[in-house]
Amino acid sequence: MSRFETDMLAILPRLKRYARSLSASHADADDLVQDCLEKAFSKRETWRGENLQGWLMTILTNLNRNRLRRAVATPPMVDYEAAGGVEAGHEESDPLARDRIAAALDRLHPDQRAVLMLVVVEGYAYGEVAAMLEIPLGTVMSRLSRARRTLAAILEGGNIVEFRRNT
Amino acid sequence: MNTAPDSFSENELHAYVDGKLTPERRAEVEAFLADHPEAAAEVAAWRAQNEAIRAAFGTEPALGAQDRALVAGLSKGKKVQTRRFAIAAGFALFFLAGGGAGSLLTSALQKDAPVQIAQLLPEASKANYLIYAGERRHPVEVAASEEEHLVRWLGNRIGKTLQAPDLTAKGFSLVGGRLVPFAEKPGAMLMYENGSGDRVTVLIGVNSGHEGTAFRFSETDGVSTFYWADNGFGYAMSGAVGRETLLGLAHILYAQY
Repeated sequence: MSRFETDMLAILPRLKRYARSLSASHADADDLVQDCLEKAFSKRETWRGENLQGWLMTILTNLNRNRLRRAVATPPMVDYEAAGGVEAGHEESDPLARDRIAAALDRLHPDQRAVLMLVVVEGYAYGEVAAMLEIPLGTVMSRLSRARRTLAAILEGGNIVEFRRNT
Repeated sequence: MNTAPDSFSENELHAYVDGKLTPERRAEVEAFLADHPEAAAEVAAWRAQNEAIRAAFGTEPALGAQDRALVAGLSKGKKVQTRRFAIAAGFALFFLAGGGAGSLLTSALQKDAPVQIAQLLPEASKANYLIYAGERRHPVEVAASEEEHLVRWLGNRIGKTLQAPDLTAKGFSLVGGRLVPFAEKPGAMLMYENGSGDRVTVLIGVNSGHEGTAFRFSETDGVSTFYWADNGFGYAMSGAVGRETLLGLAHILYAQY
């Protein structure tokens, strides 16, 4: 097994976690990780041999942005094949609270969500996020700010019931 | 009064929330917040968001054999079959081999464009199951003894020549059926039962003007549901009989519609 491969396996749990934090469903997250790994292996020569994790996170963030540009927010559905691997009851958190925050995050702009997740879930420093996403530090801060304010507004409005009619 | 500065940049408040300040600076921010309830409330909301996000997404998923196989395969330069393709191909094979309609291949490939009506299927079907399968005396409106009348009546209401699928090969016989509302239109519900009293319900609703979808599975509250939409109708089958049993029954249903 090559070092590239061993390192990749070591990073994979974090990569999967990051993908889930960006996705509306585990199935979407799995697709994202798979696409990311495929891209990483195909671009293996362009990797400069340092910070594999940051490189993978960047690839995954970009793939996610492209994906969301293509498909406008399809609600999460469990595919028959995918349902087999779903670990039921694995989530330790209150499922209602989890649904609430997940639904609110699904309404964020993907760029803002990525910054928020890299900071809050993955624990990166602001400067690291800027380097990873190749954006100025000021842009990281403004995305973080917008993400938090939007999220607060969505969560505050969470007790308002929305009625939708099929037209 | 304390010695806190009378304002902080918003960036510093974010850094405070994210635990990225030095202890000295953190103490200064805290002193500032003690005097500025509005800023304090905003910061508290951001902290609560962080906690909710970490509770929901903080756990690293464990690696499975599939993950290792994926990395190993890619490392050897294999072009890995994507999940989307695998599903479409798997179903096409299954149904073509089983003599089912080839149209499923088309619908499986369209799975990335699910339609609204089809999305209502699993919840509606699960509700039917939970509400009616537990009824001892009145689970259905028209019993299986009047099967011919039942299917003609329900068929007329939903605008489809209906037949009650024969599930006896799997030990399930028709209990009967009822008219149910589905997506603001009439829908047909059929109920089946096996020798040990396990019941499954079938829901058929109108999906005209919408595309078909792939064969899908959902499971909530112990109730499993298979569903799909095809040729202007949506179909769902729910039960608490376990996924494999239900899959066997759903395949028969699929083959008959």
